[in-house]
Amino acid sequence: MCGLCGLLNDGSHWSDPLASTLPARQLRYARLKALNKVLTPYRLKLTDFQGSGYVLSSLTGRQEMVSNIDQLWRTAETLSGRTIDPLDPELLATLENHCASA
Amino acid sequence: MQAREKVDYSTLPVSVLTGFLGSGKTTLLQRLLAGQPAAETALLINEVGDVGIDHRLVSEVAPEVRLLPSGCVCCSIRGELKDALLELFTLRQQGELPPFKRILLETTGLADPAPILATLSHDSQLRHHLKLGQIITLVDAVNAELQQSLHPEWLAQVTAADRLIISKTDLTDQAALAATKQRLAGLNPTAEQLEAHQVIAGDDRLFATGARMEEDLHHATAWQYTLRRVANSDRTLASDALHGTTRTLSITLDDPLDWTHFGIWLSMLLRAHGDKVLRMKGILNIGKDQPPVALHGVQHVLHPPLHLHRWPDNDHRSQLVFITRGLEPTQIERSLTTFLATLAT
Repeated sequence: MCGLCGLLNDGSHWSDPLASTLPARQLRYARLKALNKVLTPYRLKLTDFQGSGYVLSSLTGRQEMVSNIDQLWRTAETLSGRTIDPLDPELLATLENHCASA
Repeated sequence: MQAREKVDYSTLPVSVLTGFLGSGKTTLLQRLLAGQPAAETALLINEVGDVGIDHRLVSEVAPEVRLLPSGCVCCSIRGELKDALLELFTLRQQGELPPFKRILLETTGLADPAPILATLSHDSQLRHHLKLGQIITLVDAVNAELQQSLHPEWLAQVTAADRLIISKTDLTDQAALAATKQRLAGLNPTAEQLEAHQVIAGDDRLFATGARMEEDLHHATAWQYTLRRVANSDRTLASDALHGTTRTLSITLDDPLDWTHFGIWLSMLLRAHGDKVLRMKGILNIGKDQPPVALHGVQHVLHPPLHLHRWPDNDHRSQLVFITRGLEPTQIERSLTTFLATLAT
């Protein structure tokens, strides 16, 4: 637990950045940017919270704090009301369009 | 106090011995542990029912045996599994048990190994003291086909295995045995097969801590060998008629991949379809001049990535194998390539 803000830290996750030459904060923002590319089709946005957690927001203003990536997908399903599925053809088509227009 | 000074604090491997009811787990244990130096292996046995028969059968060869009392280890008593493992470890550290080198967990015939792995990997107390060794699955050569068709647990046990040991080979003919081996290779091409009569006391092949534990070149070679073997066969294998939806997909990626992007994709996939991804294994190139990273998971459970020391040869391509049930391999491949391309822009 963070002594200043009282946030619970539930430990490391396998998908956390591995050894890298980049500073931790830069890695964190790079990850945030990538996550938002996936969340945008679901009309969700993820922002950093104090460098220790994330806040997931919907367009209607609903917000939830998340502390790791597993929790993120669960919360994203709740806020969007949709199943978060990386095999969903619609999602893949949206991502491919994004890739083509970039 | 004297005992404490001698205790080593290295993490201990926990190997899991599983197999369907009547496949010969206890017989194998007796043979494996017979003649072994006393107190090298602590045994944890999980049985359904009030009377621990297996417990009595093996207690002569494994004095440090503990019994999990209340039924199947796979779901209802994960708390008890944790407590039993911690108790064993604590007694060892306190010098009340000999400093055994490994723990062997024999599951009930009906257990799905995935929740056991989840307990070992995710529990914040256990994961600092214990690490997963090998998953050894016994397959009854006589009844394999019947068990495969009737019991979903059988498939979970076979696909989760690092080693498949085929028992009762003397009760079946060569043609049937060859067919069973072929079927098993279709279901889990990453597991090495061994016949039960070939297992000797203290067999290194079963007591070795397994590729995921070691970081030397030999084990990097083993990882790559296994994955290439699958890649060199048909890239998308259907297992057989009985489990027509069980498929093996092998993906080779020529370019280094971004670990963060891959992690996003895989965490989404396992969250959405973990119950259909029976097994995954991979060796990844995460950047130029970076050592390879080995990955390994069963259903929803992915073990922490393992840094291998270096590539065994000049082939530095990432290789992934997925064994799936009810998922179309081409969908997975398309999804991965789309994610990696999109997130890199």
